[in-house]
Amino acid sequence: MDISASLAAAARGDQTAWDALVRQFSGLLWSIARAYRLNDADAADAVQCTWIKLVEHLDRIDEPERLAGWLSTTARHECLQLLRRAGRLPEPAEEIADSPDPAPEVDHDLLTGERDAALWQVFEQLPDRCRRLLRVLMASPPPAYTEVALALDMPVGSIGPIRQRCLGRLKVLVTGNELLEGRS
Amino acid sequence: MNDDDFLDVLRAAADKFDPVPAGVLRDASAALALRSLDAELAALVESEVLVRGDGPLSLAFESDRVTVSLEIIDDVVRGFVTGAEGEAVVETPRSRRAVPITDGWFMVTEVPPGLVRIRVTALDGTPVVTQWARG
Repeated sequence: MDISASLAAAARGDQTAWDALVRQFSGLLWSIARAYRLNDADAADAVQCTWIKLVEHLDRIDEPERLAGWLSTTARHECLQLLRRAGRLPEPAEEIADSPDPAPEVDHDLLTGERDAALWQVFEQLPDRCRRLLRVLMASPPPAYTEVALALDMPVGSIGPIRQRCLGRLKVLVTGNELLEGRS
Repeated sequence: MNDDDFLDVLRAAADKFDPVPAGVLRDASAALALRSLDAELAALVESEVLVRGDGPLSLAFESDRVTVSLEIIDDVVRGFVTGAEGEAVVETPRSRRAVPITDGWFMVTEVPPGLVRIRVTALDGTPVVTQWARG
């Protein structure tokens, strides 16, 4: 069932169609909430509020093919509202410097066991703007750039170049990490 | 490893270390039951945080038949309604409490944080529900 059909069926109360939408987009919404560094409870709140707003708008989504974008925008508003109420809006985006060129090679098989955990820790140390963008790009299934742009309120055209710089930065951090760099 | 492959590796790590919690998926699934097909929608027309941060939140909703003004301070919701009488039902995604409307006023305490909406019955019997708002 495509998104238009799922939306129409869900608007008629079809739980199966609704659950298909939930399965398809929850990964994106969760990633957006995490991109804004919301904790478990607030992230759950932001995601649930986004779905509830969709329920409220089920028969008023003008362009069903843009549902992912609508959800992304709504999730961003929910996240910012939670942050604002907590008095901690995200830092203004800092400039991302180019990483030394060329970015170092990362071993293909680094992702096993504790290396996996080490990579996650290194990722969390990225500067905020990089971490925010990559966290949304890491959503499953992979989001389109248009959705990422709406989720983070940034120009679509800037995503590719910033993605490249941020992945470069992460590779540098990985290279400096014994556990990740170690080749046994 | 090119950037796309590296991002795939990161995605796998995110799936492993920060997956969507099962409870979040359950709540999302249950949200469909919160549809209110029968009711006229009172749209949010004004929202104001009276004091920054944790201060009172003031909200105003309007439909063709009804207006609802809310003031939310911590877990207390005070409301003033025109065009409706009887009970006001204060709903959150997980709870609903009915309280009497007296001279247009109603009040509910111990409302959990998060989304809230108010359901009332217009003078002609039409059910009216406000949009969800964050308390």
